[in-house]
This record gives sequence, structure tokens and C-alpha cells, in this order.
Amino acid sequence: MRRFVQIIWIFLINGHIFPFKNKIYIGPLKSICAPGLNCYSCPLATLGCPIGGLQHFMSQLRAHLHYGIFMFGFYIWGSLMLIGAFVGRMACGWACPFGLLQEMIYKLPTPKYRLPKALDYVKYVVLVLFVLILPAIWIDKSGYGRPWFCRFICPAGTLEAGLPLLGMMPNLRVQVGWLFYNKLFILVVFLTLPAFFKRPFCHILCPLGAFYGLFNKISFLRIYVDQKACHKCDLCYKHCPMGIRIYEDPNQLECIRCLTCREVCPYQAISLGFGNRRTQIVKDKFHTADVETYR
Amino acid sequence: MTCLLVIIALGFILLGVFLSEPRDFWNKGIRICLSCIGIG
Repeated sequence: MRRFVQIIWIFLINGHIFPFKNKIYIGPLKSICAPGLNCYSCPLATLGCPIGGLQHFMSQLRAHLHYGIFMFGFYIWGSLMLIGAFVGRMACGWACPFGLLQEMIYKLPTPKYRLPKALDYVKYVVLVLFVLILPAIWIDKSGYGRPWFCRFICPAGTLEAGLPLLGMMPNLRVQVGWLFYNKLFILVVFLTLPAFFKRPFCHILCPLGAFYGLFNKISFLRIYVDQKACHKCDLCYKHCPMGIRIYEDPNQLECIRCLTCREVCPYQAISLGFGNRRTQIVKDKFHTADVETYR
Repeated sequence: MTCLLVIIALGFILLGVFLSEPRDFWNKGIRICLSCIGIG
């Protein structure tokens, strides 16, 4: 079910397939924020990237204020807050193309490891520094800043826009320099790491996931764990694409609300609620022997 | 608290639309930004 929704979202966000031309889609839909990380320079993209949009407004903040224009990217902040308030970080689990790609790579038969917990905090530094502060304060002579995250880090942009555009427009290849090779290196790293770690980009670098995660504890959509029913068999942990133990904190910042834990829990200890309403936990009879085989 | 957040979010969206932010992003931000994708 989730895979199906993820693929549907890829086509919704990247619907500029027909007619396929050697230029990106430019139209009013681009002013709407995609729920996941999806580069607006991608030849297929029909919606804009919220992180790219935020940097756009932060980079021209000082110039705008100088000319008495008060644009802070309100509609992007509002869109992200609205998604966060309703579903928290669910967009990462259901609507992010780069997240899906990492999950696919993780299926490769390689040794699996766990990322250090401390790396989870790096993405908050990336959000504050590279998306908000540096684009606003590091300005050129004309008074405009640059999109630091897109320019120096974002592997999704390299994959979805940089490489396809270089393939489609040979005249761009002469402009390739250290900046591109730096981003290409980051892309290669974050296409290799998912073979060994669960969604490393989401854990370490994604500023969008960092922002949505802040809403997990207060969003309308909540996850509940019946601690009495939970046997801490760690089956949820084993299947979780983020590698978290949901019973430790059902609405922790790293949870992408993919609901895999709910599907695999043999005790049906995990339930979903919206607002104050909570889905009924149906306690079916289960066989302990079956559970043992899952461990 | 979440309801308040939704109201603030909707307020922000309306304010942004009122200030023509989507049009600004659409007109100025939406282009093949070569530096954004590490080219140039």
C-alpha cells in the first residue's frame, strides 16, 4: 500500500512527462510546495521544493527589506506547518521520492549497520545554518544571498536536476566545475550509504525531515503503543525503515509515520489516532510460536 | 495547540498569497538555477 502511494506521489510531483521537452516546467503549479524533497529544477518536476523555496526567500530577504518588500516566504512556512500540524513527518514516509530510493537501495543484500544516534542532530544544524541563516546573511554586492543547501549539499538536486540537465543540454557541460564534483561526491555517498544504513540522508542531512519531525509530538495524527500489549519483540524495529524502536516513544522526532510497525506487530499493540480520536485496538488471538519465528 | 498551529499556518498561507509570494517565487525563483544544482 505504502509503495503504491509513494509511486503515485512521484508521478504527482513529477508530472511534466508529456510532452517531454529539453526545459523545465514553468507554470503556476511550481509555486505550490511539494510535500517531500523534490528539486524544482528537475525536468519532470511540476511542484516546487519547499526547502528550495525557503532558501529563495531567505536569500533575498535583506534586499527585499531594503526596498520595503516584506516577503519572508510566509506561504512556504504556512504550507510546511499545515502538513506538519496534520500528519507530522508522514510526508517523508509516503511522499518523498528520495526516501523511496533509499529504501530500495537498502534492499540490496549487503551487511547492515546502525547509524550513531548523534548524527540525527546534524540535520537541525543543516536546517538552521544552510537553509535559513547563511542564505540570509552571506550576500553578494547586489544584496542577494545564495541557496546554500541546494548549492553545496542537496544530493536530490544533483540526481533529479544536475545529471539529467547535463545529459539533455550538452552546452552546460563546459560549466561543470568543483561545485558539481563536490555535489556529485555527496550524491555518490548518499546512494552508497543506504545499502548499509536505513535512510541515512533522512537521518543525517534532510532539513525537510528535521522541520516535519518537530511536529510529530503535537500533530493531529498520532501513533499509540499499548504498552501492556507490547512484548518488545523488536519486530517493529527490525522492519522500521528509520531503524527506531517505536515503543520507546511512539511520536519521536525520527518517526516518518510509514506505519510499517503497525503492519508487522503480531500483538496489534500499535494504533493510529487523529486528534483525540483513537482507532480501536483489536486484539486478535495470536500464536506465540508464530511470533517466535519472526524474531 | 494543534488547532492554533493550523490557524497560524492558514494565516501564513493567506498572508503569503496576499503579498504575492507564490508569484514572486514562480517568476524569479523558477528557472534552471545552475548554481542551485552545482553547475556553473
